[in-house]
Amino acid sequence: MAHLIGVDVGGTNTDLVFVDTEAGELRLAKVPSTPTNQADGLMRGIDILGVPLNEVDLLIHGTTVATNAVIERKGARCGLITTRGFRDVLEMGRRDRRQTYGLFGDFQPLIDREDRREVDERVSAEGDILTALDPDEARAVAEALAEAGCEVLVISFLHAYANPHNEEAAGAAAREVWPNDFVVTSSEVLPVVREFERTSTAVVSGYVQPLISRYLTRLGERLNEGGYDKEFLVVQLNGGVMTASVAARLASNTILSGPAAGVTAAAAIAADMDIGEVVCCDMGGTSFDACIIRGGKPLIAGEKYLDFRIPLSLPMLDVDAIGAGGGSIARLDSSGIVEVGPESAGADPGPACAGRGGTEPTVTDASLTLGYLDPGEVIGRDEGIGMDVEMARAAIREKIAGPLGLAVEDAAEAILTVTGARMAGHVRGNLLGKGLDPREFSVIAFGGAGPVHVNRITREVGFRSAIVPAYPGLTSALGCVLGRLRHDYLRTVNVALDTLDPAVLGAIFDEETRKGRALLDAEGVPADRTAATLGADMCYAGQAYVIQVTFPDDEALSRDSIRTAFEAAYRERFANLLPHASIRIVSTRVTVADTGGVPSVADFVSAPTDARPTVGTARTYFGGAWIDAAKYRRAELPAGFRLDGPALLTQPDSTTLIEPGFSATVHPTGNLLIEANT
Amino acid sequence: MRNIDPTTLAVVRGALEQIADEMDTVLSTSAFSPIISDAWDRASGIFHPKTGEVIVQGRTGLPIFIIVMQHTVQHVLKDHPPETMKPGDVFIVNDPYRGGTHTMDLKFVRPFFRDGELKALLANTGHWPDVGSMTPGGFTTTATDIYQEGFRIPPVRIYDGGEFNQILADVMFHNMRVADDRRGDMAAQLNSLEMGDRRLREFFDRFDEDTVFACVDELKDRSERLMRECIADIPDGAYRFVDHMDSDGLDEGRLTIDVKVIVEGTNITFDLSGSSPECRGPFNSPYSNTVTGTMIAVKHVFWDVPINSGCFEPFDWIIPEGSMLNPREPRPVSGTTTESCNMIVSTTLGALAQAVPGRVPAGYFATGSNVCLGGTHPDHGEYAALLLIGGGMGGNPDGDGLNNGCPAIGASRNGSIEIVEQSVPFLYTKYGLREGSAGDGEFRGGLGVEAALQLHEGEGYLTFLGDRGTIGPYGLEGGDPGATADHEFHTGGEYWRAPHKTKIDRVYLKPGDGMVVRTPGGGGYGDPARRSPEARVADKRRGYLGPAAQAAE
Repeated sequence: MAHLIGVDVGGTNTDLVFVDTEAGELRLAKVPSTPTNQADGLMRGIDILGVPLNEVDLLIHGTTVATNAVIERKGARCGLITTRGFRDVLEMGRRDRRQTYGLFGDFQPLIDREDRREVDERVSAEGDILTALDPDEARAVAEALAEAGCEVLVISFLHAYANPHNEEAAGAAAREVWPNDFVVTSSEVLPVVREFERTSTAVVSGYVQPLISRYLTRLGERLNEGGYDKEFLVVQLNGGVMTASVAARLASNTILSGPAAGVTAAAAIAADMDIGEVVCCDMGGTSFDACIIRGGKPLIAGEKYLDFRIPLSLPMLDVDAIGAGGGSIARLDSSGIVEVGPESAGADPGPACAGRGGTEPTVTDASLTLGYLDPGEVIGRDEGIGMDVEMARAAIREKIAGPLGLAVEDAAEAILTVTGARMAGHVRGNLLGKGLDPREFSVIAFGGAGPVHVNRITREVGFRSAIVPAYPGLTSALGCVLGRLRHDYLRTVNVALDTLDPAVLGAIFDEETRKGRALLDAEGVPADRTAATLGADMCYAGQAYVIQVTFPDDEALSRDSIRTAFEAAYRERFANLLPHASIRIVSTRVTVADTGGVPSVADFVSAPTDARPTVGTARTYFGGAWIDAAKYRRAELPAGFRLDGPALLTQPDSTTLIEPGFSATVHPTGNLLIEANT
Repeated sequence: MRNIDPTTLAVVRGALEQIADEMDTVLSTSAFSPIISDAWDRASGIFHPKTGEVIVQGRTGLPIFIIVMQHTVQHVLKDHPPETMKPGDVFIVNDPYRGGTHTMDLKFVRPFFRDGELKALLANTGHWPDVGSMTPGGFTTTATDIYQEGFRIPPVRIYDGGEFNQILADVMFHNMRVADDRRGDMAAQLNSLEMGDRRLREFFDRFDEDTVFACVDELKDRSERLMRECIADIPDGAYRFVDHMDSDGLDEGRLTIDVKVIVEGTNITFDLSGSSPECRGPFNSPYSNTVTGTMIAVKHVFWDVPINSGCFEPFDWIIPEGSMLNPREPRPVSGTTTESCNMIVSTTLGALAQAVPGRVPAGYFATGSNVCLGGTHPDHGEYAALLLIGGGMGGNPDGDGLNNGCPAIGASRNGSIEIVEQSVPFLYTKYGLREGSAGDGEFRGGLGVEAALQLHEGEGYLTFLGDRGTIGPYGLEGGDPGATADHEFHTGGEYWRAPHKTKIDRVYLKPGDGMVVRTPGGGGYGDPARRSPEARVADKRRGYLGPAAQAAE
């Protein structure tokens, strides 16, 4: 495996990397994304990379096709069959409102009420069949939905996680008459308790499936025409990858695949630098995505709301996003306090400094005003995006500085301080809320805007150090080529630890592991290169929230070993155990992954050894005064080079800002390590 | 204006809000009560050490606690002046007549000391599924005094200088159903306060104390100023709206909620003196609960005014003692939140709709429709559960009302049916939208809910406490009212309705017995004649209208 292409399609840009792991070569490209057909931008990017496709061994793709389809309501027309009496569960959600205050707002579910039908059947919470399914009824209802024009059929019955028999029978009957392969049952997508979340997840999966399937097929054909004759891989929301043919079936696993690739890259970079505890922060144009990595492994979450009343409950990287990016708009709230985001100027009109009609001051405008960005070297300047300092200043003066009676520079500083406090507060809260101490963590900051703010975040959160990758603006694309083939399985078992038969649990783990191995086998992974990680979601009996527990892989499963693992995880999260309460295993959790075949970043990225950096100066504003900062070109810095702040490090995909009182060292891996001077 | 730079002000506010948010998170993720963990019926906040005024409250806490918590803290301060507090103290209180709501809301207050000085008070509240009242779940519809509504605790120390008050805990839990889970809830609330204490300590390490208190004062002033600016835009005058509740569950006859909003310059007086006198049944609303109801309505209209004690400054209340909205001990109060408070909010909104037309939606369902289940399962033993049912929100100038919304006093979500069926021996046979329940209008109301459930095994008791069985949520600007609630009970194969329509205490159930809950739809906004033909076609296609209307269209 020598020639790899990673492609990350984001909202604004499509980023591509080509790596030759043998020759140690790396090429980069960045082109505007093409929302109507993401494949257009992708193919254009490959042209710019200048690599003939017949020489490429593997292409790995992070895509936003599925995410966008849900948010923009552009997925397939789906039919839904539910237990009699429950067709409205999807529309009713959890009896929430759009916002705590203000009683306005409506909701349209992904499946219209006319396409939601019911059949007689019922399973109890214990998994007993109270009413059997009549396959003829299921078949007739499916036929009616197909007749009505539905392309996808989703079946979701109550308690199907406890006993999927009725749901499977309905699926089998429906498949006899359904005109295509798009039939989804809730227990196959997510055999987990909570009818609304499980139904919603199955519906999201069905809703995006035809689109993803067609997109991947067409992309495969175009790659094929270009000379690429193998299967390509798609990044999953759990940070792993899967083959395109598997992705066409597990379509909802492609949701949030872009942020996942960035986390994978961050974990690999940290591992190369021998740092186990990190928080990765991806700051792009509109959002700030953070994920905690412990012992080299990113944390996994169980649920994310894609939109109001549309939860997706799959094992996914615990990426937490807030609306704070370079394009986030600064304004005064009604009581005259500076606020930043979540509204973003986006790509159009973009920041005021871009000169495309934007008049709202953004974070980028504030950074430019204070001299923290080099107008000569910014992303997308090939596409004619300007960096006009005067326009940035004018917007800040009019909207912030004027009303507050501040100098423009001080207003810009206020914008960045507030932005930094929001990001830092978010990250701190995340760590502390999980019982983790920020001082034991480093931060890896990437995305176009991340390196400008990394020093501030480090200071505010109290991180021990900060890392800026070699190619901060293309880290997610790089992450694509670093992902492992991987599949996660979650299943509700709901048993008390006190009465648990470890053999029964072992049988479930075996079955899930077999499923994962079979899928990996189909994806071409040899059996001796797979590994399974076992764990469970657990709580004290009576609690509604669960915590994730990973079981030790060097110890046989027993009640004692499970109890020990649970108590360690609980103590970390909540400090105090409840010695008298009994413990429950709510769901099992299995990850089966390919253990080999992934390149290391060090194979193709390293710092030059013989470069001689040239030093320039830049005027920067710190703490109320303009001062000179050293200005370097990042690509010219050799391994081991150390520099003191204030300094600006420029490169085409980003600018790194080192504050006074901090210094940066170029690590042999090509990444930059920033630490406070002691 | 104080000389505080705007950056510091923004950062201090954000950091304080985050501490309160984190307290909320710890509470809901470690609680046993599904009403706290799944439905978020809880709130956390930081309060002024001397005045007890709210400095900041968590952003996901329930609206109903926006002012109640401040009253709770002030009552604790009244019984335990600051100079008597010491590090390691934690106070507990659930007395509705000591700054509370109903007895099921347990409040904990923890003084925060730094350098030996009291700097702030941390507090939280959480709804426990049972506190040992006559009826499992606490919503005793026939209670005639507070003593029948469960174990009542005045502000006392559960921790005394770090020493746990084991006797109080033992007595308290001995008087509650499913007590082990309640111990877990107390642990969760204490954990959350401990976390808040730790965070606040770190906060004071990072920010200079004088600056912090200057910021707190400044934030208060700004909220007040902003609130006054909003009020100044309203033409001076009196705006009145009157609505009625079905009955008090014991005596025939409606209860009147009469809200007069008197606007004078930048001040508002809520005159509620036209409302009914205190009632025999549990629909009395203690003073702090009533005041909160009016403020929730204001906050739903002027949602961008930040919450702290400053935004309460421009308001005054006239609520005569002895009114059902300012009852005297020992009147029963369990319906005070989900029913009386919702009706206070809804009626206040009706009055505000005249003051600021176009900014207020038509009436929402305004009833919590509490289903309390309790009994003994043959295999699993004792159980007590509370189900929360949604309803239709009002149509509004932006569009149709939301189907199955959460009442305006809350932001709480209902539990999962599958989880309910795992924990109590009941089966739902239906959980769906209630067709034909929306008030018609240019923008129709949202649909209410139709939910049917029955006992599956063993024997049990079902208590229902709701309202809106005689008058549907009001329409505005020519819109029609939403459908009234219509609940049906069935025992031994017979279907029947309760004498008080929306209230009944401890119906004895055998397997197969149960009820059908039908909650109100929202009121319509604007003349139905102006509703677009496309919207009417969509309503019909979706089967929103109900069989009769569906056929007539």
